[in-house]
Amino acid sequence: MEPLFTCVSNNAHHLYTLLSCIGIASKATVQITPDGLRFSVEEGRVIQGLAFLDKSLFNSYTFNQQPVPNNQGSTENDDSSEHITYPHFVVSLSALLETLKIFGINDLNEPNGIRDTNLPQTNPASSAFSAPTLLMDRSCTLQYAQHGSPLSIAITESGVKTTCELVTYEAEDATDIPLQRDAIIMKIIMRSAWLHNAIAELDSSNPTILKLSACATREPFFALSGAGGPFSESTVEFSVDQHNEIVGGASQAGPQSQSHKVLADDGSSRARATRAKLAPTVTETFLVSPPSSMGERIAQNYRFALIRKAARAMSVANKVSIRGDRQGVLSLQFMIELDENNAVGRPVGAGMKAPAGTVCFVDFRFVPLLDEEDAEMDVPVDNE
Amino acid sequence: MRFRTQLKDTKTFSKLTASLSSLGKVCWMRLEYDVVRFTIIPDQGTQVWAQIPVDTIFEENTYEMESNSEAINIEINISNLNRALRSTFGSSQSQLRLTKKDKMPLLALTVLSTDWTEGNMALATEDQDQSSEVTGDRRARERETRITQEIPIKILHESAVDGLHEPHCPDPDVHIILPGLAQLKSISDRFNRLASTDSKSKFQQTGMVGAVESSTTGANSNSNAPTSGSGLSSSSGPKLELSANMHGKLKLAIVTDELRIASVWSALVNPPLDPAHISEQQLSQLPSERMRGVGEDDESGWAKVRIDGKDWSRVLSVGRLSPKVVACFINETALVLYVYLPGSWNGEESCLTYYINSFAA
Repeated sequence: MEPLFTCVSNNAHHLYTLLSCIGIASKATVQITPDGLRFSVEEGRVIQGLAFLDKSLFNSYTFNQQPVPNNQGSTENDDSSEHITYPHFVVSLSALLETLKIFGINDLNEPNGIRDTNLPQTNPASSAFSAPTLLMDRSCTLQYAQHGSPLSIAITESGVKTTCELVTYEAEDATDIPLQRDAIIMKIIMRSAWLHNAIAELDSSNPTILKLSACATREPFFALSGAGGPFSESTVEFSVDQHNEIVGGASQAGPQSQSHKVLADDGSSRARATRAKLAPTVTETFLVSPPSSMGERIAQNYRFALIRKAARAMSVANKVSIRGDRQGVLSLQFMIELDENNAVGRPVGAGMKAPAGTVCFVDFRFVPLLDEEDAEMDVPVDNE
Repeated sequence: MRFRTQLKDTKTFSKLTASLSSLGKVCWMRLEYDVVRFTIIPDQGTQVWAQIPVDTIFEENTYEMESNSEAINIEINISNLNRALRSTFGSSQSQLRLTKKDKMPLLALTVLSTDWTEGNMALATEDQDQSSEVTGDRRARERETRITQEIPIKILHESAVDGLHEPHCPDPDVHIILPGLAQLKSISDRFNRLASTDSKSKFQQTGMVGAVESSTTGANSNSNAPTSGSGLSSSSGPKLELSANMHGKLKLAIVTDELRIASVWSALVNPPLDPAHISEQQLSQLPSERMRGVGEDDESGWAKVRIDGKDWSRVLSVGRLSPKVVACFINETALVLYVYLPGSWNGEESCLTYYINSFAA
């Protein structure tokens, strides 16, 4: 019998890069769609990570099931409404990641991810001949034969063939964290590095709460603060370049690249002219329109430990779209460019030109802290 | 009783002792006229019998060994010896000798070093500084330094080691040359990790698994602690399935609740047996020849052993000597590794033999 689903990639590293971004839980829910594989993880129903492996990432992608037609025609990566129609199951994400790493794919840059920190840093397999450029010829095949069968991953390299069969579990009826698409009150797009720098900066004081503040009319237009830690509150403001003073961690990344960015921005000049007054320099898009009941400023609190989990995605991604809805649900959508030649996502010193390689998206959603007391409540770190 | 020699290849000697020390602390070192033997028999896990020709690690013409029993048997903490040997790097000469201090037998390692770097000049006393002004910097830098390290040992009487014999194994079902040990080890380690992440999420064993891991990666000195301390942790370590056939295939596999993973190497060599030692008649009766006759795709042509993943990883650390390794599989019983040091391939004498028992399913 022909398997339900088969796909072949000659670059297991791309799959690893994307999946490691959401390596925050041991188990992931996989959904097979005609357009790609959707991996989602969640923790305590307050954080959700989502990686979409587009079919364009694979050399071949065969999905032999005709899904039951439904009204939700779209298969956008952040669309949550088609759980019912396509095969979905739960696998061990940590095992999948370890499998993809089998041939020391990650030798040259050990991720600073959460679960890798205690692994030995030296890998005996690493040598001049295991550089990522030489790893391109290996092939990685994913197969799901039928409902209930294991997800098999076959990795071939000269002389060695590794086959891993991951037991698949019935997916729970976990619904995604709802982001009200029609009630988005904030949308900020900028280079992911800015967000990463800001979060890393705040993280150094070990805060428990991340305060997000955005306003379309008054300064600070966009600010992130860390609070609740053993030290006092610290704030990173993304300010307007006109005064030539950038406050907080953002300034440390180098002002010259900022001015370069403004020039390279391909937004229309009219938009830039109006925006220059009202939006922080680093943002490409800055839309803040809170409902009148909220006042002019959007202020929401999130658990810092959860935001921190997206750090790997922040470091790998090119751009991030920060969105918030009326209820305070925060969505961080990361655009990751996978260069055909470059092993790591973000090339050093890249401008904001149109993406060259394959573009993929990783999403994170966070439920806001409703008031101060929530921060004290200990949300379990692990699912089990 | 007398033993004194110049060391020849301290790099190899040091790597050898490092590999041995990962399996156990207590080593029986037997000095004979032509060969030096190292044997480690831990309470649990793999035992190793190594036989090294004297001239591999010692300067043969300086090798002096005198004993009534024609051999000296020494019990030594092999990691101490390894630590001492590491200080010989960059030295011009090093000497190992048997000596005594307050009736305590010792192995004394004397390292003669002549290449002083500039950084070490700070240690020079004022007197020497003055003399160096006279004779010039160059001379001062080449001053000799002599470091002697003493390693306490026990001399074993011949009767004490009489009862120790190399394990006797039946003829192997499959013999095969292993692929590069570095690659094999990195995949094995990955499998171990896969198994331990699995058990971490399944049981409350995180502390125990973590303890075993830290001891293997950490100092060798406490490598015995987990195995002897808690039998539970070693018996619950991940079990790798290693199998091979006579058609050049080797398979490494592990099965956990969450996954089933296997790596298969193909086109490896099943070395022919030396016809000088085995007659045609005997050859045809060997189990390995029968296995060779079994078809390539036939499951019954595979010989399989189940081994402890951590222990296996320690065994594979011998890869640092970049040896050639012939693995002999005795189906469901044991795995014997013949590890030949580089340069001694075909030289029958220089060989480390590892005996690994197979666990029951």
